[in-house]
Amino acid sequence: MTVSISQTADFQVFGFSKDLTIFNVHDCLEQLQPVLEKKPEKVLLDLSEIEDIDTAGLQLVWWLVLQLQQQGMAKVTGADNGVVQRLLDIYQFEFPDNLE
Amino acid sequence: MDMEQAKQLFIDEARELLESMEQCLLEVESGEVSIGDHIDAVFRAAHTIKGSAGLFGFDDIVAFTHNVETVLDKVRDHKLDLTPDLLSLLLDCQSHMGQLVQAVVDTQAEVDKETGSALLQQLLAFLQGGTAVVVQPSTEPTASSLPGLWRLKVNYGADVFKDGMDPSSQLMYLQKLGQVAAIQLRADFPSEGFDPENCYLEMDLQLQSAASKQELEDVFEFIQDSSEVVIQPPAEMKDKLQQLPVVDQPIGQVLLDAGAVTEKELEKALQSQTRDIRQDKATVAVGQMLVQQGSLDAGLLDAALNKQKNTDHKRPAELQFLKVEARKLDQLINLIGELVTAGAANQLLVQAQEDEKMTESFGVMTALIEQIRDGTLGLRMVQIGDSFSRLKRVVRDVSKELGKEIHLEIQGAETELDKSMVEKLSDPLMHIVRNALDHGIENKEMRLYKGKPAQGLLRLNAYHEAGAVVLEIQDDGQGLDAAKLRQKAIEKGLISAEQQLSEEDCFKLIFAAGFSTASAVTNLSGRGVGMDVVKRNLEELRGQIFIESELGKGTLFRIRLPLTLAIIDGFEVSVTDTHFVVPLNMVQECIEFSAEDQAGQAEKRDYFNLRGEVLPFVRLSELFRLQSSETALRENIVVVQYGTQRAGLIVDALHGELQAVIKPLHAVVKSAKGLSGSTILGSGDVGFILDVPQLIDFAIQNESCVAS
Repeated sequence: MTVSISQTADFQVFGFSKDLTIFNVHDCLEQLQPVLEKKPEKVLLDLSEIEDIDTAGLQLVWWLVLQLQQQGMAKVTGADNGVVQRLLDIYQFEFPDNLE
Repeated sequence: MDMEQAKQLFIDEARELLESMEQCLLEVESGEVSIGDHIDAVFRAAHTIKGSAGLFGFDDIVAFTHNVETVLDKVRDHKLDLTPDLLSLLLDCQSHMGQLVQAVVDTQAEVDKETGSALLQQLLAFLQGGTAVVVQPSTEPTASSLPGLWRLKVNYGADVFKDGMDPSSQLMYLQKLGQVAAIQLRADFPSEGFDPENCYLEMDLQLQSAASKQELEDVFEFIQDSSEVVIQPPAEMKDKLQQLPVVDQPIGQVLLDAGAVTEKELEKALQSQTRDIRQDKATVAVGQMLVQQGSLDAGLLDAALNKQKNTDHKRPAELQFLKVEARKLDQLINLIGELVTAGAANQLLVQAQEDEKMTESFGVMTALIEQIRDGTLGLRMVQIGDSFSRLKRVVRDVSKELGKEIHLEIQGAETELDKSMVEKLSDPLMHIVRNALDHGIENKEMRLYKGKPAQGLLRLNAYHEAGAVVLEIQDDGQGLDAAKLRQKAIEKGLISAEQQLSEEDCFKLIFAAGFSTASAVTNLSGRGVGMDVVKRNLEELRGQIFIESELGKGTLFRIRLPLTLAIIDGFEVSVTDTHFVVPLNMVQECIEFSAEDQAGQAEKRDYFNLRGEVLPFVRLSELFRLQSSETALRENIVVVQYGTQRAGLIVDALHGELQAVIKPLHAVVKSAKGLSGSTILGSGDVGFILDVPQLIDFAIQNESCVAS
């Protein structure tokens, strides 16, 4: 499983594990597509378990956040994970957050 | 070019830039222009001097000029107001930079380091928050203290990820080439059909880097075909462009040489242009095409176009001249002189042939030679304005030192004069101006007491008049007191108490060596040296100085100088077998003269009745003690005029016009009064060039003496 989908309180949590790169972004999206179609209102995208991420992975998370925020609340958590943070630093980038 | 030549080039350039810097600052100070009009030129001067000095390792110039440049930069960016104090400080800095450059020329020259340090401290005080530092001399040339800020815009192609490229790796590499100042990542996601393997990203990035555009472009080498990468050069590139030597090259090459565009960008622009031509579309110039494709901004293109315009002979003022060694010009003028002499000899031969066609043909050639002569002499002509401008600084500094308010007015700065004369005029002009400031113009209190404006006026004027150049230096000061001058001259034993002098002669006493009426000797003037040197220098230039003065109202020094020292149009006359040349522009008319015409014959007086006007004359045969074997059948009088004075010269024969190449007088006749030079005539004989002003003086004085 590339992405684990769980429920915590009233949030659905998309947990990305190990790699989020060009090699598996397609699979990830394919896996999440059925959930997205149900238009969840509150979603957390958890990146804390990621061990390798590239720009394609970052792009996917960004797109997911924007899509989810169109219909409800979405927030990225675990971005302080070393590999993720390094990539965000390179781009001086922050994911949009409509939860706060 | 060897190192010494390169160093000399630096020195020449630095002096020119310092001069330009000084002129700009003085014009701003006088209120003629605003700082906005000149700040770029002043900054550029300091910047170029610093950059060039760095190349030669003249560290002290680099270190000092860096701080001047920093202050100028702040003025340019409106972060610092150009107060009168700051303006004055910048002028002092300019002088100090001049000293530093002089020290390169003359290693024995003393540089006032204490003044330099004090100036630096003052500069630092002007800089906000003490951000400016005293730059430690560096052996590296420092074109700019901070690397330029490049702007990059990348529109990633859809297949970038699929091609195995990760834009983050390019960013990491860019960080090795400089410091990323800012990044903005944007995404252009589709509303439907998002494919996570496609790249929808765009990036704007600002990078502070000393890397070249080519190096930056190479970072994106592997995505160039699929993505759009635009790299805009830093603003400093404009300075770099301006510093490039002027070359006759297409705009693309100029931009390429400056590093403003890369070969790939240029190639792309050229391809677009070619495509437009093939499709019969309206073609866009390459430069414009480069702007359209984002390779550079319009400002940078303008700078390059201006440079290219230079090659179209639409040069900015400072580049409108071609430097030629003075030696080469002198050589050319000498050759023209020989050509003129040879032409005169040929003319005699042609005349002897009495062949109409040959005479006509020779006439055409003579006219051309005259044009070549005038054109060649014109090459040495420069505007007097440069000399006048240098006096601006003298007036400013001296008036400050004396605590006087003096307004300098310059007229006729465009009047042209032989370069060698301009150089020799520099000291006499300086002396006269200093004297006018020191002794002529009163201090503010005295002026107000006399009902004059508090601000004194010094007017410099130049104009052409009857083949001569006239320079006027006029002040509205206290004027010369003829009686006081006469008394002083008697006290100093320069004249006897009985000697009668006209008012102008009294004025001319100030030119006597050791003469000074100043009650106080200042470090500017009043030592009795200077004005005698002025007269001597002017005489060496075949010039004359006249003084007009009105007590309490001011003094006018009028200097008349010949236009050139090389070749003149003359009128040939002879007395017995000696030939003379009268400068043609001084000849008024020639009249047959018989003893009966001598109006004052009975009283043995030398004057002539010229249509009711008394015309004093001088007999050249008597003056030069020329013994004629037999009395000339008839004599002629040549009426000459210099300024407002006229006199007659009695000669035996009139031979007509000629071009005379002026040669110095031989030592044997050098002391003879009334001669200013010699020339070789067409016949090969030597002709003496008459010093008409001196002869007129002689005729008038001689006649006055006899009359009294």
